[in-house]
Amino acid sequence: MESQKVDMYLMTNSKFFESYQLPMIRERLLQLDDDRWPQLQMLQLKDPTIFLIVSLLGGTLGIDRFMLGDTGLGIVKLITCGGCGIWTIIDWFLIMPATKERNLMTFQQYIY
Amino acid sequence: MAFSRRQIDRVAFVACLCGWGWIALTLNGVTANLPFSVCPIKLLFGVPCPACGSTHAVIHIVEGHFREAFRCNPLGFILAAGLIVVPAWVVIDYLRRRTTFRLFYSRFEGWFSQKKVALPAIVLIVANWVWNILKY
Repeated sequence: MESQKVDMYLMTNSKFFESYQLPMIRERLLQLDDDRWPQLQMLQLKDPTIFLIVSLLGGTLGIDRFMLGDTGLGIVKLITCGGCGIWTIIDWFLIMPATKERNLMTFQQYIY
Repeated sequence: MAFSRRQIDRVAFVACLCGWGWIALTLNGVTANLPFSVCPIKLLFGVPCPACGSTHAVIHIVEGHFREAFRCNPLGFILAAGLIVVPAWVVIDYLRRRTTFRLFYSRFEGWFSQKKVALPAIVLIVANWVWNILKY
């Protein structure tokens, strides 16, 4: 893929990934065929800011974890009052990196 | 969370230890003397969450008072089962160098994500929540 296209993609989508992941993503995209560009555009990535808001509002009920696809953790969070409130607070800080991690997994599934 | 799915057994083990620690604190009366509720929903809105009362339910189950446990919160039965089974399962897995718990966890997630399972579970949780609100 052309470096111009890759840089444009990274500029618009950098918020979905951790900063240390970006060089690796760039490297991968440069190796990718040009005909996969439309597919890449349609890749469904999760917005970490939305997840932070959901975690702040519905973290006690595990809604953030359910949305992320961590059903098991969501159930545990739901039936333990959000880990007696402690896990809820910890997740306010962990949910954004977790979302970015999940986005990287989605990206890697697309690459391979 | 910032951990990978490979670490789920360790996380589950630590979570269960925390759960037992919490129950021990409740039995010693430490949690009753707290100036605030640990449940964020109760703290903010004054309404109990679906899981409020489950600590006492687990304590009733351990003492053998199943009816009182059900009255406190039926979710206590799931929690008590998890608190007993999960640590033992993880330890056995660790000793036998197997990953059966991890496998079970991912299969359970897949099974629970089905609509026919998730919808009745949501209805039950909501019903339990309404009952909880009426009780407290």
